[in-house]
Formats: sequence, structure tokens, C-alpha cells
Amino acid sequence: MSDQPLRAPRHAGRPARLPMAGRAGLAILAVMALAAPAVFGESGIGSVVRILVTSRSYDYYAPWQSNGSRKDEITGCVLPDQRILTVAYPLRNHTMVQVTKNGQSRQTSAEVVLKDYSSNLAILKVKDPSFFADLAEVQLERPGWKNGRCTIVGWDRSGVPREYSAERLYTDVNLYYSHGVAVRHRMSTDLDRGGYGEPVLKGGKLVGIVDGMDREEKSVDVIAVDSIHRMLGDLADGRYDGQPFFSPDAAPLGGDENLRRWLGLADGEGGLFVADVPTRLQQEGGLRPGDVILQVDGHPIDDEGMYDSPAYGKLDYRALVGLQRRVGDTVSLYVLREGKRITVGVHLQPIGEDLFLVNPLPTDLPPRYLVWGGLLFTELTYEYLETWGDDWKGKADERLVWYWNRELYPTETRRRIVLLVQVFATEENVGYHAFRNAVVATCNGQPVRDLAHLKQLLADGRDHPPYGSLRFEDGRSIVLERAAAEAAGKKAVETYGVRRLTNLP
Amino acid sequence: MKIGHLATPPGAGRPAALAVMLATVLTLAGCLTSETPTSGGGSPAAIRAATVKLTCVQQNPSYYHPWSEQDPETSTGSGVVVRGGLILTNAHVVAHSRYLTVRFETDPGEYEAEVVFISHQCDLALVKVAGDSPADRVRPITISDRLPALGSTVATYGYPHGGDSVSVTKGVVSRIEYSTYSHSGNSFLLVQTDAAINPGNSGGPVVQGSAVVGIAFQVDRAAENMGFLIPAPVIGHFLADVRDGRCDGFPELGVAWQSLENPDHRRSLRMKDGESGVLVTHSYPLCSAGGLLIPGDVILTVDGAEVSGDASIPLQGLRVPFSYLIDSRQVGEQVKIGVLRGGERMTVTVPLKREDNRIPWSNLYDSQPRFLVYGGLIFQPLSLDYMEIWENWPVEAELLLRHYFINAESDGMHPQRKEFVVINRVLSDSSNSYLGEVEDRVVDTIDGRPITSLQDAADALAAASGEWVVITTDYGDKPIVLKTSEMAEANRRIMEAYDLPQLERLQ
Repeated sequence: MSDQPLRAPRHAGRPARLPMAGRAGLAILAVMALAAPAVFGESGIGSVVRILVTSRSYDYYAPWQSNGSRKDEITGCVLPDQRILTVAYPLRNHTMVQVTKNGQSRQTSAEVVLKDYSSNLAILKVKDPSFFADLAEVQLERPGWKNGRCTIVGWDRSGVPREYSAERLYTDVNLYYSHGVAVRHRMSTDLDRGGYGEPVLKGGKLVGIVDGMDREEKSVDVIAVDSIHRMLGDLADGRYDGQPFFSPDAAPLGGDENLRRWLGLADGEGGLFVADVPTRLQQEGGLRPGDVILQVDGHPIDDEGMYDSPAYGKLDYRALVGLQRRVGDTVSLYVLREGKRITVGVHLQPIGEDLFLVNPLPTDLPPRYLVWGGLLFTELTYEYLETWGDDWKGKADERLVWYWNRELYPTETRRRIVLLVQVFATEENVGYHAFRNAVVATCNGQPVRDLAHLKQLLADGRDHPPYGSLRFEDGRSIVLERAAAEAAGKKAVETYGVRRLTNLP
Repeated sequence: MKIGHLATPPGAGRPAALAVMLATVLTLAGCLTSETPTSGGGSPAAIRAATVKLTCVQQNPSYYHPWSEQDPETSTGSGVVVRGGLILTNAHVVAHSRYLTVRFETDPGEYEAEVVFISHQCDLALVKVAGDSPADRVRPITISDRLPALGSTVATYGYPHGGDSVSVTKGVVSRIEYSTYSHSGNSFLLVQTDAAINPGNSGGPVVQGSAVVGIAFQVDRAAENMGFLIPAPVIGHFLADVRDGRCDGFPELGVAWQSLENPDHRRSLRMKDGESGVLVTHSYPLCSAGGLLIPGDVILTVDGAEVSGDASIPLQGLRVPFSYLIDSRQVGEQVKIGVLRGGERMTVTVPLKREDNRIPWSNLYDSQPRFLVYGGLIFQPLSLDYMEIWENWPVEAELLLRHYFINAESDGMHPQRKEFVVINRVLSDSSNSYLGEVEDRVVDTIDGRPITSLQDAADALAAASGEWVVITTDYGDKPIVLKTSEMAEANRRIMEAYDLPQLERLQ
């Protein structure tokens, strides 16, 4: 699992799935300790720091234990107020973060103060103020920067900061799995290592940070300064809300003239056909399936789902909400509904795991699990699907991918998909040993809402024979009486080293 | 293992088409020619004389271009003369035959032949040479009525890699089990041998003493020396089936079940100590047991034979799945199923039918794909043949189709649908050029009318009278809207541009 992509782009078709630099990188760093004094100047090269991340990974088949740790090196840059800016995904499940500068080997502890996976941005702080003594702070360029040539500060072979040239090719909106958005520049560059968090500078000002690299194409994706401004603005009041969630299941009309006429659109009017509305966006007076979104906050939306941004030209409509609106705002939508043009409002909530049936966001926590009768249960998450490797969409059970792909939303009776992951085989649970990744439908006749609910239902069944009776979505069932379930649970601990039967409260 | 026939075994995880990927049928593609002469009785010489070489030009249907056929391919296989001048071979040797010839080792001629009976399910066929046939002068070989003993020696006769004289290889019976016949995807009894079996051996007799104990038919490419034969009981079923002049095939109970090996599980179903059986998890409505057995039933016995908790029954010192008791019967017969339902013991009589599912899980043969082209949209029913448009469908096929194909039956999705109608893709035309990419979408409604079959789609489209035809699809992003008045002309244009001989084949 060490070659996992660190980012989670929503459209996985893109390449840029590069493994992180590993131990070899660290060795090189040690060798170059003698070299290179800090270089200061207009370039901003003096603001760059190296970030050494130690993180653990979890074993979904034995979730009470960590699956070992890994070390990665990424890059950050110093913003005003001694804040270090970098990308969030490589900090997943971090246990220790250290920073070095100017090619020196001395490591200084850093603290992660913000990790926003929906924007893929993170802020670190270093307690020791002397760390910043010979570092320059980099100022942010204004939003909407789009001039051609700029510089990426990365590292050379021996670990010394060095400037690489870069040129913006185009700008679009990156949609993350989390439904977060970022304004993204695609740039051609001669940067050939790293690809995580390197600052992109123009005239000494920060215009973005690198968020993925495609070695073959010699290009990088850069999170534009617009997204960084949004994050810092959000943080300004000391409370971070994150991006608002606004992701209706809407398809651009794509210039389909027949569809446009059938819907009753006027010439020159464009829009998005709303096929479905997620639970959390279903609000009184809000959006409805079948609506055509014509304008978002007064900006006309074209048939490709784009609005005209003053700086970048055509951008995906979601940037209007993700970047320009805050949690708690009400976004105004001008829609065509049953032949009438009306304005509706959608109250915005933060992107959080409760919005989704299958959580797309990293949690930085061990997977929730429950062992009962030697049966290991967990909740389906993006991180679990990822354990199938890069081809998880083909390799994982199609039923599980289906839940992911349809982006189904929680309901009253189902907040999470509960899975029987595997069975620790004992004499008591004989007959069930071959169960794998089975989706639990009911327990003791009740629909299972989430793992905590399953735990509760099993506890309630304790004194009501047969104790535990589970039904799965494919029609199969499992029944264990109290004596057998307890004996098998005991053996799971004694024989299989299950340290705790659950990590639920 | 392919998807569950009779049942999806518990814990099988995803029923992937492993057998199809691993096992290869043994027809030798790419034709060869030549000759030789003679005949006898049950002696090795007699068996040689009765072992023939078949050369078949086959033309398979195309599910991607459902109105056309694939390029003809020539392949060779083997066969054996049985009673009445008939030649027994594999169905896959003669499937979709356009031109079929037979050669005898001891006769210089090449004789045109025709398929008399074919059962794709069990991969067997009977072929007859037209007119005066050397087969009539060959002493037919007897077919055994038993399974060969494990470890006993068998000899395989046939024409591996073409060739014009019979090749004989010896081996032992390595294993007898119930597994997938890759030609159909159905599971029946089969015998594994280490005798060398190669492409071209397909359809050739496997002999013990003077009788045929099996017909060589497939190998496991991923393993060494694992060849398979269709054993005598399956051949016997086929021959008995066609005796009335019609091939009805093998019946299928049509339930998904789960083993009952856990005592707590059995107790919860109110089974007595010492009682065994399997739990019905789903009953496919169109199959034999549809409406007769219901989820939650425990199948205790089949025609009086006790079904074990692992779903097996004893057979000649082996244990085989209880489905053997079903598929050793003929279509039209009845079985008595001893059932425990809600604590009550009862006997349910099930008249046996062939497998029939809303989404066919077996390859269909001897029929051309059903389709409908309207405004360039190609409508087809979802089936295994459709899934096999993808080289490795369990991984590559469109997720929605995989999900439906594997789970729609067991989950009872869209119970009102008689089949799932897929829009394969769009043949571009000026009338549909706005549509963009429409591929592998499952039709939900046409003009507001729920679509439950290909015929439904045809009827709804034929009835379209408004300004627009509006097609919605499952989890589709936006409706497909076509201008009704343009359709007649568009259909004509599309037929011409894409060389369509017809716009529909509904039956």
C-alpha cells in the first residue's frame, strides 16, 4: 500500500499518481547536510521548507493494530505569521511532522494546525521561533493571478532548494472526491521530483502550491492562490468552517438542442439539468430534481456548466459556491422549474463525513470496528475501498463500489454501510467462515443504521434468544446464540490476538 | 466459478467468470486437411475407426453489432460414432455452424454433415452425415452408464491440433466434481484427467475398456495436465432427452441458497437435532421453484434424499451438490422437495423447467441477438452475452451493468421488469448529434411509460406521437430527447449509413 496516491482527485482518470519520495530521499538529505547556504532574494527561494512526515496506516483486517508506519517528504513555504503552508493528503494519519530548511539536516518539530482535505491544504506551526530566523515569509499574490511564466521552488538531487521554471498552460476547477473544489493551474515545468506542496512564485509572491505531478507530461497541477486566500479568509476568525457543500447531481445540457427545447429554455440561456438532489441540499424552497439551474448567485451558467470568471474565463459552476461562499450562507439559484423561472435558495453546510453514506474524507482515525462472535464488522469508507489498490473500482466487490459511485446519501434508517469484513474462524462460527465484505441489512429484524447501531442492537439482543440474527443484502443470514457468540469472541481475543473487541465508545 | 446456477453458493464472494477465463474449450481454430481409412468393435482399433474429425465453419453472432455476424472461422474438433450412424461431439465444436464436414481415419472422403441435436448447456451435440455415410459402416461405440473410478486409467481419442490420424493418450481419473462448463456457464458433473488433452480433442471419446466414459471438452489453462471430460451420466441425460426428437435441456430449480452448517443457525430455523438442509435465500420467479419455494425455507430433502448442511448428497462414494438431483432429471418431470417452512414440515412438488431469468446468466446460442435501433440508439436486453462484449467483464464492464447482472436477481431489484433494456450506444446521425456520449445506460421510461422489456421499448417508441420522444435511464444524468418527426427519416438514413439489414429483431 505504499504506492497510494496521496491526493484524491474526483476524476481518477488523470495520471499524476506518483508515490512519495521514500527513505532514499532521506538518505540524500543526510549527505547534503554540508552543502548550500540559504539563498535569499526576490525569488522566494528562502521561504521554502522541507517537511518530513511520519504516518501510520491502518490494517482494516486487524483494525486494532497499525499496519506499520511510513515516512514521506513534502514541501512547504512560510506564509506571514510564521505559518507553513503545504498540501493536506500527505499528512494523512500523521504521527510526527518535522521540518528542515536550507538543506540542513537539523529537524525541528512542527505541529499541524489545520488539515483541510476538501481543499487539500494544510497549515503547520513550529514552536521554536528561531527556526524562522533565516527564513523569509512569502506574500500571497492577489486572487486571479494568471500570467504565464513563474518559478517552482523544489529541491535538487542533493536536497538543496532550487528554482525550476514553470509556465501556466490553462486553469480549471479541480473537483476532489470530497466534493471540495480548488482552482487549479496546469503548468508545464522542468520540476522532476516531489510534486507535493512546492511553492509556485512570481516576482517573489506566492501564486499557488503544487498538488501532483505528471513526470511523463512534465507538468504539475497547482492549487491556485484563490483557494489559499479562501482558506486563510475562513481561518481569519479563528474558527475554520471549511468549504461549503454544494454538489447536486447535475449534468450540463451540453448544447443538446432537443433537450433544451423540450425543457423550454430560451435561446442564449444555458444551464445544468438537476437529476438528483442530495439529502442535505433538499430544503424547503430549495432545489428539486428536474430543475434546470440557469444562474448561480446571478452568474449565468452555460450549457457546459461553466460561468464566466473575471480572471480565468470559463470555470465550473461549483467554484462559485466552493470558493466564494461560506458555510452558513444561502446561495441563490435561478432555476427553470416546470416552465417557470424562479429563484430558490440553498443554505450551505460544511463538507463533513455526515453528508455521505460512504465517507470520502480521511478521518485520521483508526477504522471503526466491532468484533462479535468472531465476526469483524466495519463501516464502508473511501479509505477502506482504497485497500484494494489503485484499481479498486474494478477489483473491489461491485456492490461496494456501487455504494461509492452512486454517492448515495444518508437516510433515516441508514447512515453508514455496515460490512462484515471477515470472520475469525472458530468452532462456534462454523458455517460462516467464508463471509467476506457482506453488507449487513438488518440485525434482529431492525435495519442497521451504522456500526454503533449494530453494537446497540446486539447488546439489546443479549437476553433475547437467539441473541444475534443478521441478514445481509444478498439474502444470506447469520445466527449466533449468546453462548456461541461469547465463546467465539473470547477465542478471537485469545487465538487471533484481537486486542479489543471494538473501538466504538 | 460463474454466477450461481441453481444457487449462488454462500461465501463465494463475487461469482466471477473464472471458469470462462481459465478453462478453454478444445476446438482447434485454424483449419487443417488430409486423410486415411478402416473400422471394428470395442477394441482399440474399433474405437479409432469410430473416432472422427469434424471441421466446422462457424459464424458467431455479435452482441456489439447485434444486426451482423462475426467473420466466419474454421475450427476442428473430434467426435465418436454412436448408435444410428450419429456422431456425438461437443456443442462448441458445431455451434453456429455454417458448413460442417466429417472425416474418418480410414476413409479418404470428406463428408458434409448436419447438426441433429444440440445442447449448449451440457456442451454436447449429435451430428449426422447426409446421405450414404461411412458412419453407418462403423460399429458404434457403447456409452457407459457409470462414472469411471477415481484413479482408474482412461484413454482419450481424438485429433489434437488437427492432424488426420487419431491420437490416443492415456491418463488417470484425477477427480470427479461438479463444476462449470465454460461453453454455457452452467455447472454439471465433470471428470478431470491428466491424459494429454489439447485443442482439437474437443468432442473426442474418452474410453475405459470398450465403452465411452466421457467426452473430452475443456482444459484449465492456468494449470498443467488438467483436462476435463463430460461424464457418462451427463451424456446419458442428453441422449435420453433427445429420444423424443426434441432437446429440452437440463432443468434448474432456480433458488439461491445458503449452507446450514452452524447449529445456532439451524436451531433458529427450528430444525431438529440431526436434521440437515440448506436455506433458501432467494427464489427466482421465472424458474421451476418460483412461487413454490420462498426465502426462509429450508430444503431438507429432494425426492427423499437428505441434503447435507453443506448442500451435498452422496453419489457413488462421492459427495456432489444436491443440484445433481435436479439436473439428472428431465424437463417436465417433477421433484418432491421436503421443506421446513416456519417450523412446519411439508412436501412441495416442483414441476421442473429450464433456467429462466430476467437477465440470462448463460450464453445463448442458436439465436441471434435481440435488438432495436431507434434514432441511432441501440437497445438490447442485458445478458451474459452482452456482458461478454467486454473481454474481462467482471472488472471492466460498466458498474451499473455489473451491479444489475450480479445482484439484481438476488436483491429483487425492479421487480416489475421482465428484462433490463440497455442502450448499448448511439449510432451517430444528424438527428442525435446533440446527445453526446450515451453508452450502457439502462432504460427506465420512454414517454413516461415504464420499460419492462425490449418489446415494451419497441411498443413505446412505435406509439410516440408527441413532438418529443423522452427516454429516461436509471441513474442517468439527463433525459434523452429525440424529435419524433425526424425519426422515420433518421432510421432510414441510419440503416443505409451503417448497413443495417433491419432495425429490429425482437424475438
